[in-house]
Amino acid sequence: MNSTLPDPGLDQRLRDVLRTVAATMDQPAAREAVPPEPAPRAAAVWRRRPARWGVAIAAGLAAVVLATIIWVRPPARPATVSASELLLAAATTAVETPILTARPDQFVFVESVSIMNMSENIAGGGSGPLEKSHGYEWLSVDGKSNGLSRGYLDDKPDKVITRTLPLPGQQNTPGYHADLPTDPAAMLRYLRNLPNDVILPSTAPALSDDWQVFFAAAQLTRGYVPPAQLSAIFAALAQVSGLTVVPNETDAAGRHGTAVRMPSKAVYPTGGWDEFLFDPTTKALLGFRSNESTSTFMTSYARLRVAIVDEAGQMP
Amino acid sequence: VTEADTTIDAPGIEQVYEEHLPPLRRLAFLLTGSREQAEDIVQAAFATAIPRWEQIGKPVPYLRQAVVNLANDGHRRRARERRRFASPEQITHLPEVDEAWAHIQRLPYRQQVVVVLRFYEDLALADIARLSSRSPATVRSDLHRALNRLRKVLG
Repeated sequence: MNSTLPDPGLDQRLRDVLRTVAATMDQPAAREAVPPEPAPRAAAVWRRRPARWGVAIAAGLAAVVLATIIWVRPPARPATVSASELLLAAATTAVETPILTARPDQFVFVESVSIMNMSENIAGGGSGPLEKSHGYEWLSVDGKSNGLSRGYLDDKPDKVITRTLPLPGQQNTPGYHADLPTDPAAMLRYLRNLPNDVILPSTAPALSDDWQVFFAAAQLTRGYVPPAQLSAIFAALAQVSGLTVVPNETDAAGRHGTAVRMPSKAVYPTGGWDEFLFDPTTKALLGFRSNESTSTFMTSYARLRVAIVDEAGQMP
Repeated sequence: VTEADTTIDAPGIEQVYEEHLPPLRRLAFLLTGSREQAEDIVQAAFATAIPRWEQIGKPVPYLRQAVVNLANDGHRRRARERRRFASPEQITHLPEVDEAWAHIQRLPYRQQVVVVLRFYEDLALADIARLSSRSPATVRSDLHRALNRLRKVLG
């Protein structure tokens, strides 16, 4: 039978089954159909809006003093650098980057490219199809106005999807992170103490403090972080253990990069990881990548452009 | 969007919570297969709606969209966990229902969502497409595949 034609028998059976199953939610909680929620992936966070916690935008953003932190450029790097050395170099690059100033009523514009493994069985090692998309986001500077997102799949550039931000189910948070600490030690404490929605199954290893710091940093850097604060983030990450450097990676936009990788058995029991990608020469942040396992790619995000504009939808 | 939704005229939070919490919990449960996660998702949906309640206008469609989005966020995490844990327990005392429910849960997630929204929420394909941010053609294709598969295993 062609299933595009109505099949009253099957249709009614599905209705009956779904109603019966749904009704179990009205009964006392005696059973659990599926195990508790495991740890969310950092990659999933990167695909969504940036951090959920509010960071109030300060008046007079232009007054942010870059000189609050002066990073001493690390000595000439050997052929193989440690994660700490690379992150300190990234901190130096960040603090030397001109600041983007913004009024609370403006918007942070972010242009990005993403690649997702759309397999329904990533956990089982499934690969592909890979879905590449180009996205534009306008995030409210103070998190008090609605933002906007536009995006299209690379193989369907004429089908642009426009949505109001935050999406239903998401919090509206500032897109401009001005009030973060500028001192690395304070930033480390800040990242370590940020609340997150990680819920691990009872049998999973506990998340480490180091992973929490890495996770929080990844969320914050999805919005716009001013130079002094971004520098402090990388300097704080330089104090995290368990990170490794992986040369010769490629971001979603095809740019060559050097990765700082954080593996986590708690999040990826089959050996996966999350990683920041940096420009191998300038040490500027390029984007993020995640693997479910050593051989299963999950997602990659490349940030192409960040600017401040007056209206949601306005191109810089 | 159903007729019932469109006739709501700026209802208060308490009224919507009281009247729509149970159906939203049921929808979340069908999308996640987890009572605990369904509870969390519905609470999170209300938490995001409350600060912008005055701007939402039609809170029930908004909340339903939030539940679908939040369930989708958690989908891949659950996929990994299903591999690590034993098979789900029986949730009713009706073997034929549990068997059919197990087959629905084994569908690829996008097909599972379409089946739930079509046969539990009674939404039209265009509404399902809008709710899941996909094209009507791909939604129709998923429904076609899901029904073919279910017909084979349940027939």
